[in-house]
Amino acid sequence: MPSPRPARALISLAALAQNVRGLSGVADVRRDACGHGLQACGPVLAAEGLALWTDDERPAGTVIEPARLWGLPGGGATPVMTLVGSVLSTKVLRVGEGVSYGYTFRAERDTRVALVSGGYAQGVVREIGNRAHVRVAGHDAPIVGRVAMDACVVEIGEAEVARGDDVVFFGNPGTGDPDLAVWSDVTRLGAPEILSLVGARAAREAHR
Amino acid sequence: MTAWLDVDLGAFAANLARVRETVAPARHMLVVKDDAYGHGLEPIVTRAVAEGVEWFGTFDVPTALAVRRAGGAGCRILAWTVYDDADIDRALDASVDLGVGDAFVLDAVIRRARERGLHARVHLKIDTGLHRNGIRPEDWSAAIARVQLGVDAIALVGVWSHIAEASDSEDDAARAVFIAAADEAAASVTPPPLRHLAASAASFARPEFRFDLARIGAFAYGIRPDGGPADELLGIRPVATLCAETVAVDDSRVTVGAGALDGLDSRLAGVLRVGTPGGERTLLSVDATTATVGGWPGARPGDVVTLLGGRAPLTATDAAELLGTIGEQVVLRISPRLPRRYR
Repeated sequence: MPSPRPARALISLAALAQNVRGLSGVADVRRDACGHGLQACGPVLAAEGLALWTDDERPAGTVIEPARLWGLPGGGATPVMTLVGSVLSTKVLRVGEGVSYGYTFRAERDTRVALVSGGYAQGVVREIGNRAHVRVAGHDAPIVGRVAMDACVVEIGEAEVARGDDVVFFGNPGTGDPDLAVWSDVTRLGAPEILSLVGARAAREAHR
Repeated sequence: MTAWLDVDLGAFAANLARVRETVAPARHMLVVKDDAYGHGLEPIVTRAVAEGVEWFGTFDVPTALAVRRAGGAGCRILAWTVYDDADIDRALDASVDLGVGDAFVLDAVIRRARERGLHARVHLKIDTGLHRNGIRPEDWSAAIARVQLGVDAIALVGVWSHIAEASDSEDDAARAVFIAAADEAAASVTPPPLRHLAASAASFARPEFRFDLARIGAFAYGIRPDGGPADELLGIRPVATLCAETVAVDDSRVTVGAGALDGLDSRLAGVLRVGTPGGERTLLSVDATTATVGGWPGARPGDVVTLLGGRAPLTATDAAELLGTIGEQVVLRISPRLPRRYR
């Protein structure tokens, strides 16, 4: 059984390279590559022949749309960042029992819930409580109750979910991950500002 | 950098004094999760120790170890979450108390402490209704029995919970569950464990929720509850202010060097009032790395604008109320990449 971990922002450098292949111009990597990590992403973009617009310097040339670069909703490219939490514990929830601050969720039947690492301090925006779902152990599980500072609760019902299981908050909808577009729609925040903070506060891991 | 977070350690110290006198005779556990709510862990812990704070609360063990480094051997530190055996080992080595809220972690702590020949200090969490971390009441007696069988390896030094603050009556019901669980623990181990239930709001509003320790982060940083009492009534002041320099000026508006990617919430455009050398102005637009505000006579590059917080027209919680969220999230969304400037 794997141990649970803090929420992690996984950065796919393969997706990033694929998103810009064949393009020329300038990649906007200000603010630590919009939270994706300039140190890991900069060399990948440079190797694809792009100039880098950093916090210090803006090169001449056409700027690639951020939605295309990072695979944001509507950009027609693959999301580069996936936010993954871990199941910290599971427990039964009886009919009528509430979840988290203010009891904004109450169980309509006996069910089970999982406590998941990742809260608004890691960029799991508080407003998505009761309005978005995660992907865990092959199931879509709704986020129930208010998102807390470092954790949130998801309803797992009868699904076989155990401590240490990965919980995908958002990623590549093409492979079944929840869509960041839902977070933008619910919050009215732009996708870049959501990712900027996730990348800054969640543990970031770049993968080839 | 053209933007920064101004952190007023004098205001922090005054808030700590206010918290201490309010919760006495209970003691204040200063919550320093997430880089001390984004204020910077080391300066906050250093000042808190100088002001007499003894107890610190963190979400994870790595933060607890950073508190130990900054605060020295005299602090008591509670880490709320155990991810793995390495966390248990590091907590044992640094004399960090561990929050335990399920049987699996309780067994892991007992096993690991026994293997190491050490004694772990545990605060056992009862689930009084939030249904996050915490042992359900029907499982509490079994957990206490496990503690008694593990006395060679662990000391039960605390019983704790979180309350929902959904309504006073529901919090009262949670408190009754808490007292029953703490009483059962006290009858089973010696000395009786410390009791801690309340965070900022309940600690101030409801004396009967204070018990031995009040876990307070928000009020120490001057973050009042949304929809709750004003700062003046609580006797606290916001510690942090998001500031930005003017980077460009045209006829009617001024551009400042902080934007949405820095944590200036784009939803505040058109509604936030900010502080300028010419008086209060409206935040007109928020771009990726810049924002515009209404101009003032004589505006020049380098002029400082206070966007939100203690030295701005609106506090973090004021801004949160415009957005339908809470001050903690507004503060924690300010980018950790921005420098912190202490005064």
